[in-house]
Amino acid sequence: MRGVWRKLAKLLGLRSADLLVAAVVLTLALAAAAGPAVARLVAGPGQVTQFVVQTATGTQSLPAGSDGTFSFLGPLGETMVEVRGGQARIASSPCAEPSWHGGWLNRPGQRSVCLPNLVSVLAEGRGAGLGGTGGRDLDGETR
Amino acid sequence: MALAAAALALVLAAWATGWVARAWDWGVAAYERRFLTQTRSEFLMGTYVTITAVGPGAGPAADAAMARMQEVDGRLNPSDPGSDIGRLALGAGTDVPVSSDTIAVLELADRAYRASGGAFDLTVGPLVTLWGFAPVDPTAVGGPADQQRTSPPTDEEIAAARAELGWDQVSWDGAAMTARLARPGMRLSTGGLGKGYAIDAAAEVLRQKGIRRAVIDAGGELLMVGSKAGGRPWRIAVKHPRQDGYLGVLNVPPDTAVATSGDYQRYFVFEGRRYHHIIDPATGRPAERSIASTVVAGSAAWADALSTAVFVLGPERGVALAESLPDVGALVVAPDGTVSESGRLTAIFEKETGAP
Repeated sequence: MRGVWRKLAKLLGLRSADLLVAAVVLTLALAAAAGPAVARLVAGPGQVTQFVVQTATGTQSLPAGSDGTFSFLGPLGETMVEVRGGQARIASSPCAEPSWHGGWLNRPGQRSVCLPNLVSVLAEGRGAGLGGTGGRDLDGETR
Repeated sequence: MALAAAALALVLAAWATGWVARAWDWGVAAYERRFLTQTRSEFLMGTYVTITAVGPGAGPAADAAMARMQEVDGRLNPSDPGSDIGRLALGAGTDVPVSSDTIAVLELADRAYRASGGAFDLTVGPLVTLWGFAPVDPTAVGGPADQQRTSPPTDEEIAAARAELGWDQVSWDGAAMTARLARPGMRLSTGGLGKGYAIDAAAEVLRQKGIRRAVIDAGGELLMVGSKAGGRPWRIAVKHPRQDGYLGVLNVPPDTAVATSGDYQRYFVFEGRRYHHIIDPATGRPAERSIASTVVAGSAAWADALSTAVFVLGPERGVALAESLPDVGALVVAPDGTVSESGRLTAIFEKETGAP
């Protein structure tokens, strides 16, 4: 290894110490350039870790891996929340249109709400912006 | 040494192009989210409210801000006979003592009425009720009353309700802290302004508590308090009115509010036609020139009122209204899906690929 290092230094016309300094600085430069991309890669592309269900009486967390259908009671009756394959949705509820995001929740910050029955399901996870809406560094959603 | 100098130059170049600064911002934002951010959520004002605050003391500050929104709701809720708005309707024809919040809302409503040429009219309450879109209190004992219609009212019913409108018959005295609706039957509808006002009031509490960065979201009506980490613009997605996706993303400057009105928020369908909750005071019927409007403004109350006004006015007059006002941007979607934007909004709007 040391031999290779010396040969490389000689090839470039540098002293070993100079080459070391150059290598350190070059590494720092590459890290600075690629840092954000690497950090986002590590954080994952808006991966959902859990679903937080809020009702008039309290809050319950459902891990993203807890496949099943869960019942929550509101003033109008029963709201069923289905968790399947890392996604969740309000499967049935006594509220009429609209409930936000009627389909599957699969990005951090997405929320489905049955307002009349006072049930909210929020997808939580890495990659959400400050306002909670995630996947694309979003801070919120106007609707 | 030449190579070392070149590498150093590369570091400086990376810095100059902003990569190092962006990495730093990303780290600060991640740290803030993990250690300094507190979120509070409540069902309030007929919607779902979330306050996300950043900084030391964020939890108590968010609690106080939420309490302030509940206080405003208690004063402006038209379905509560004990609220200022409820007492004004019940005491029509007399001077009714009201709070400073109600006086402020009446003054804002007057500003919006005049700016929009009457497209925004707080006295539209009887029509909102007639069409079955009066706000209900979901926390009421026994659940919310079912006021939703399944068919439109008759022309006679609409004419009768329209006769109860008249912003010129609303008066108030800020010194005496009283307000008056001139005639029995008049009713204020705070749906187009109340949420925005409550958001502004909550933001004021956060600022007083020393919070310099926060997002207040009341059912998709948002106010971004302060600046985002690193001074970057806040990124707010605009819902597509007909699809489960976005029209695009707004890059919003600090201390700015965004509000959207859409015909998809509350509506019923009769014989294949959609009847929604945004009533045009001029016709007494759901406004027909738009299917969605989004307004960016310096305060949530102003954005709230103007999004309703712009929706009623439609693409051409709505965008013209936004252009005539300082620091206001508007985006309007016409029934055929055409998107119109004011200049200020175009400058901050990233259109989604494939969106109209």
